[in-house]
Amino acid sequence: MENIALLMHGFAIAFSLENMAAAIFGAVAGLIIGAMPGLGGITGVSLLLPLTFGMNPTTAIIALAGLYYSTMYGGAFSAILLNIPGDSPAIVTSLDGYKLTQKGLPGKALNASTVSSFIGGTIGIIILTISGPLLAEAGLAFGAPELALLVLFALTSIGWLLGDDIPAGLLATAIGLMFATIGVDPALGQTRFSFGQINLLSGVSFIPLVVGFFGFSQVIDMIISGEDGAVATKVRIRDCVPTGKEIKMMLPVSIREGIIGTFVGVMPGAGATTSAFLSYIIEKRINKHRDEIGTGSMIGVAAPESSNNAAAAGAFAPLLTLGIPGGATTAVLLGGLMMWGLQPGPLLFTEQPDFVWSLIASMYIGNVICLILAFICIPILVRAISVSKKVLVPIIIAVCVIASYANSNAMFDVVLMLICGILGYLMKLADVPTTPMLLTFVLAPMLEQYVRQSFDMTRGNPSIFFRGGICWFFIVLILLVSFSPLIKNFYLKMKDKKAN
Amino acid sequence: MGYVLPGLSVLMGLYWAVKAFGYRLWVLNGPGGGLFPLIAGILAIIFGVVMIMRRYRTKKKSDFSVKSIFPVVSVIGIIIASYIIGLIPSLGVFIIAWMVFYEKEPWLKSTAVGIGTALVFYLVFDLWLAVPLPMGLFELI
Amino acid sequence: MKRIRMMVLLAAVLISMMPLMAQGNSDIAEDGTFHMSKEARIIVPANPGGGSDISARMIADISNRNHLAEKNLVVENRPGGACAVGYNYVGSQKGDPYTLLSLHSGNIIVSAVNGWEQQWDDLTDIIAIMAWDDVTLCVRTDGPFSTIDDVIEYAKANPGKLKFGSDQRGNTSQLGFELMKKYIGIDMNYVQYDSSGDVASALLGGHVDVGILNPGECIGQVRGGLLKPVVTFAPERISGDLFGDAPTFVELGYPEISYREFRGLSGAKDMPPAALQYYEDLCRKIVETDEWKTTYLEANNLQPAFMAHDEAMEFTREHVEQVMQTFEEVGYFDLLN
Repeated sequence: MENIALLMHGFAIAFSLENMAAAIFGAVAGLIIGAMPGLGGITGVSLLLPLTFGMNPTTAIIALAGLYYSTMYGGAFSAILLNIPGDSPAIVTSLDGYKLTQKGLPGKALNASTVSSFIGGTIGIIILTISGPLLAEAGLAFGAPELALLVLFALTSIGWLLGDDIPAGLLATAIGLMFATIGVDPALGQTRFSFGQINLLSGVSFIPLVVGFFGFSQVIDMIISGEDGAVATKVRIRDCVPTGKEIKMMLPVSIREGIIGTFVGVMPGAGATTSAFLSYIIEKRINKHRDEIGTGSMIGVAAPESSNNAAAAGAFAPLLTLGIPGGATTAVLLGGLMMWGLQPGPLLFTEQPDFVWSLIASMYIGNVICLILAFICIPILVRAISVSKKVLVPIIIAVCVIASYANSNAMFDVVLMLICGILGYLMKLADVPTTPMLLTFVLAPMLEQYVRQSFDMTRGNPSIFFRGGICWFFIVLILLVSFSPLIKNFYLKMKDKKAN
Repeated sequence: MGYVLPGLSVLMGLYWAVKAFGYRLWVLNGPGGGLFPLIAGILAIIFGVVMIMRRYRTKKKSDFSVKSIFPVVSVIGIIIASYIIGLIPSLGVFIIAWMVFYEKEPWLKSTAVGIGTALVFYLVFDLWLAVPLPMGLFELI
Repeated sequence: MKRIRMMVLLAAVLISMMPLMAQGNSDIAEDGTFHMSKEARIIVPANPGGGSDISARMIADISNRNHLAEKNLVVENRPGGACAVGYNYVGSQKGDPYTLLSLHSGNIIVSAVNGWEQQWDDLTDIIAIMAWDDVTLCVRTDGPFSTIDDVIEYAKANPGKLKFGSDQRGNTSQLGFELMKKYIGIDMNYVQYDSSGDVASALLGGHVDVGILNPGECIGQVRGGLLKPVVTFAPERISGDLFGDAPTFVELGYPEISYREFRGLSGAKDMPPAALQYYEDLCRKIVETDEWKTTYLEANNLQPAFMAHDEAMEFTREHVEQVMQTFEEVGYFDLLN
């Protein structure tokens, strides 16, 4: 168990005053940035990276890594309390989280998210410690065709979220797909649907989009519904604490989805959003209490939160062992490594053991710090949203504006946010759900890119999509998902016949 | 108002589907830049029409309210004002104005909330994260 | 309450106007030399952590720490539109001697190939080219190829089979691909990725056979023995042990396959000639520092270079010409509408 000895050495370094301060700073900053509607991991890391220029690399990475996974905790807060996901992985969390808030149980949702984030994150880090290099190797097996099928599987499963109103959900998917195709096309690199705007040349930014569709349209809704009063009425602390039964219900979910999340996080480009979404639909399929998921269930919060925190840890495996990014945020961190004068690659573990192992050790510590901080924040947060709407509404509008602006330092993104907000409100009026739209917006560009790459590899021969076990696994899953309503109907009919 | 979105989707869908052919559906032995937009456009047209027909049949009314225009107008105002007095002061002034004139809150409380929020924004975005915020006419100085 | 706010505002306005009044309005001294009267911004047309960001921060850091310029240089990221947002922002500051831009040749190619309304030389003036960022072709160490001859032989024997991992079409990486196709006479499949990190990832996983990468983007994997550079596109070999063994295409008998990417500093179009001269001298001082040579060039595996404004503009125009001509010949623009 050489790894354990190295990890202990890492702990010794991570516990230095400077590094502990960095970890705490990262965790606090991440919680604040994550909790701000629209600001998440990528923005947080990008905004803070310049401040670490010239810092000791170990201290710098501890601060930034702490910030990265602490935004995962914080991102869930605004998703649960205000239905505004702080970051794309929290889109799924808002589904059940906000319903719990509406039921008057915001504290329970926050606790469920915090506890499961902790469990998921810890599982991810343990797997990273024991088998980081192996994990990264496994991730490499996923090439363009495998990833295309994985994303296609996720997209076809959106149907499970739609409930009874299939046309409305599909319209939302279509709108998401239209927004997703704005920007550079993956075939020739030409610009599509830019409407002469240079800010649209590389596509619609996620932040103004999510702040508009979720945040701003939510505010409009708040103004109209209910003349006064708070978002949630006064909450008793007693209602915040999960019961023993609820913990028993959430624990296996968190562990299961933590493991799944770690593996999805390792795959190049799949990332935390895909993992959160997959975990949610897996629980929706197999959990004993699956009927409650979607109506405001703690499982519906625990599954995606455990999974996306685990994915955040898993994404470090390819970064540290191979020097390649596991997702968008780790790509920024990769740039950070180079900026601090390190050479990311397979030798990082042997040449910079202090750096790598104190980072991993700090992740354990950081996770505990996040847990404690979140528990301190929850009662304050629950009280904060009991503030009158009269105060809350203008502040949220102001946050929507400044968060959109800070995305790329351009007023264009504020205008974009406004347009998306109006569209989001119109969707509400037409009873069209926004979540499928947002998931499609995140997933469709990946699918388009991977499909194009697959065809590029074989010069148009589609046989590449059947090239191995992983491919077939996803093909079977996709077929099952697509035809399961038919199979179910057939089964029910047979049963009817028998009964007759 | 429930018809606006499906109607808009149909129009957007038409635009997307038509433009898609210009971006090519199949190019260099693979899907071109137009394939996904075409799928998106067709889906939007079909389900936009379905939603319009369904709404027409059920005669469902949406609970639209004129009040929904206030936040939209506010943001437009903030954008314009930011070119004159800078972004953060605009946001502060907006919060105060909203609370006083729309919510009929007392001046003192509103000013405190407005200045407090603006101060937090200034500390976080300007001092700490060094985001280059628009300064309006102050930039000339 | 209202009155207090007004007074505070007024006071703030007056205080902040004081330096303006003291300074006068011209930064050009009587003898025609330029003197900085305030901080200059280096605009990075990309997110923090990328190549353009690192070079801008290095330039600013070295200048500020050694007081090479009269005032500090500060870095400002304006990402978006594949660099169009940053370039157009700098273009909007025409004549301003305090708006600079982190220069990367790839961005210039993007402006030309995508046919922007205003081209790179309408928006900016290059102050100096300060480093070569050479381009290599890499293979997996445990893959079937170990030299460029292996690759060429395989590609000749199996037309349309070799998978060539690269960036998005319409940039310098595609230039390398097209030049190889044309002058060696081989047929390969262009597989495009979003970033060089993704190219390295696909190459490691064996999903593509060769990948086009800058040394700085693969040095870790090369040192770790996972990837091997088999050839470089630059006219001369890259210095150092790791990349020095890779021959150039010129050595192999393909003198036409030769190009280099470069980095440096640009400024807003039409800044006063004295200011341009001032920054040119600043760049010259920076590239001569030890910090530049060790912490920047060596650490990122870049090659030393220096070309001042006139020469740099000329060189860049030729580079753009080469790319446009090649893309024209292979019919890339016919594919676009």
